[in-house]
Amino acid sequence: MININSLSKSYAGIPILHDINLEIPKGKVISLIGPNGAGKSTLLVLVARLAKADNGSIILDSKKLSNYSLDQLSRKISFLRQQNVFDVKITIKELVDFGRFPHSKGQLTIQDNMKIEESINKMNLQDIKHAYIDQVSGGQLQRAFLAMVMAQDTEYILLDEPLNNLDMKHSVEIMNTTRFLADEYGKTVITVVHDINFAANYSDYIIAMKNGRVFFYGSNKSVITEKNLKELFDIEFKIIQDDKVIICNYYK
Amino acid sequence: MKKLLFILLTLLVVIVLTFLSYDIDFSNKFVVAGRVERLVALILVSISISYSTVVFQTISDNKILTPSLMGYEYLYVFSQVLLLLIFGGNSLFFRSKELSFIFASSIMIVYSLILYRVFFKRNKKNVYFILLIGLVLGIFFNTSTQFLQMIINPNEFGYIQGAMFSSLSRISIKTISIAVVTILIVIVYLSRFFKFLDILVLGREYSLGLGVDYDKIARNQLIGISVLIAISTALIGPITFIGVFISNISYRLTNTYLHHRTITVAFFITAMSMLAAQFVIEHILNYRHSLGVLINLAGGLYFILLILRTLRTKK
Repeated sequence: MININSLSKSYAGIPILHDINLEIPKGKVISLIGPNGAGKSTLLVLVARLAKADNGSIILDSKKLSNYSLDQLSRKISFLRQQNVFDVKITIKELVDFGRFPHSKGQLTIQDNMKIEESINKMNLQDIKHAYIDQVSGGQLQRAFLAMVMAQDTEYILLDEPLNNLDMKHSVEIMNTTRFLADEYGKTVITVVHDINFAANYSDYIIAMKNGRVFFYGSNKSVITEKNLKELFDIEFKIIQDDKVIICNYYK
Repeated sequence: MKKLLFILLTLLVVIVLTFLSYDIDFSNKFVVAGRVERLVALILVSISISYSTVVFQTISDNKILTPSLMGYEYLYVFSQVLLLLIFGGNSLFFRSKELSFIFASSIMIVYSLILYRVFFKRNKKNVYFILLIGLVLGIFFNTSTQFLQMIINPNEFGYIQGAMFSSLSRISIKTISIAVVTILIVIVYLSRFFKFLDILVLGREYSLGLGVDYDKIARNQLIGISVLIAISTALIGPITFIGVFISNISYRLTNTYLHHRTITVAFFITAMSMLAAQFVIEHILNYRHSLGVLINLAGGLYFILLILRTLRTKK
């Protein structure tokens, strides 16, 4: 469980997050939604401890985030960045190997290799695992990084717009994978999603942010309403629902 | 990889043997000792240049930079000019190779320590920021040198010209011994972090995410690099520009991110080109050109090709 208490952060005097209070349960898929510049990425960065908060605290499994050693934290939380551009000769397989570094410290064991294989298969990268990452398409690269995060095998997985660059088929696959990670492995996946329909259909909880504050937070059934979404995004919504899916229509 | 290393090793051995034995009278101990000294000096400089350039490029995430951008070499020439103006050409600083070596390397190390201290204190975490400061300071040293040159006695100007170009004329057994020990200690210390260095290519965020203390490792490496550069500059003068084309040839040949490979191959290429250039200077050009001029000529051409190629692939 992650407890966030009165967290705030500003960059160069400009406030990004104000007084964030959240209690995030374990083993669920949690989507972070909201307009651009709402502070979603910053929140993830703070939870991953890649930057320090100005005020407030984050408590991870009843221990303060700042009290974890870097090594412990790397086996507790993994983080997928929004943009991944590298000018280095790394193959997809080698990239996924990196994901095991917190466990293996550079010496891969049989278990490490099993986990690596599993991640590569799950992300459908078997055929291109020896390709260099600067030679594959944006979608393949995105899946390669997800495979790395999967191989890291942490309880908490933070994804910053994992659906970037992906077509519909792969987007569905990624969201199914996040569901699989939560349901089968009990992982907690917190992901920034821009496609409201993916958020509404694939997550257990939704955190909506606007102007650096939590706008609403709750189980997806309870918070996906026309009124909520309209106020969040400032556009009209119509919700079409049957017993299987929720479609939030904001076209035309 | 094994095949590549074998070829490089064979080539290096051939060049080393040619360098040592070409047109030599083995009974003349003075000549033999001189060649061995020059060989060791060039090997040492090759180690420093290949290591520091490859790692510097990893940390700065840019493959057309060299640590010489930080202004070490201009500082070196500038310090020589100041010494000359203050103490004169007959002072101990210019008569004793050891003293001038120790002085020059210490001043460069102190300079970089101050630079990094300011940098890491401000917590900017942006290598480009410190690079820019180094670049500006380098320009400052260079223009100051040019200004001071005007007021130097023409007889003494020769000392400064000697410092501006790399050459093997200022080495001695003592300076080489100091350099061997220092460089070995630094390399052994730094190479313990190789496996972390390989992670550093993913950048700060992923490194931290994988439990690698990016800041600490980058700092250690940068300080180590500054010692390596200082020693090699003090030993044979400004030469590190060669690093740009060496490292890029190495990346092309190895096709990997693994530092122990890229650095090893870079070392072989550096050592070969330096020894070959020195050989040409000694036996064909009759000492008319300095090592730096020859190597920068080749390096410059390669650099232009490199940029043209990058531009073409960008389209």
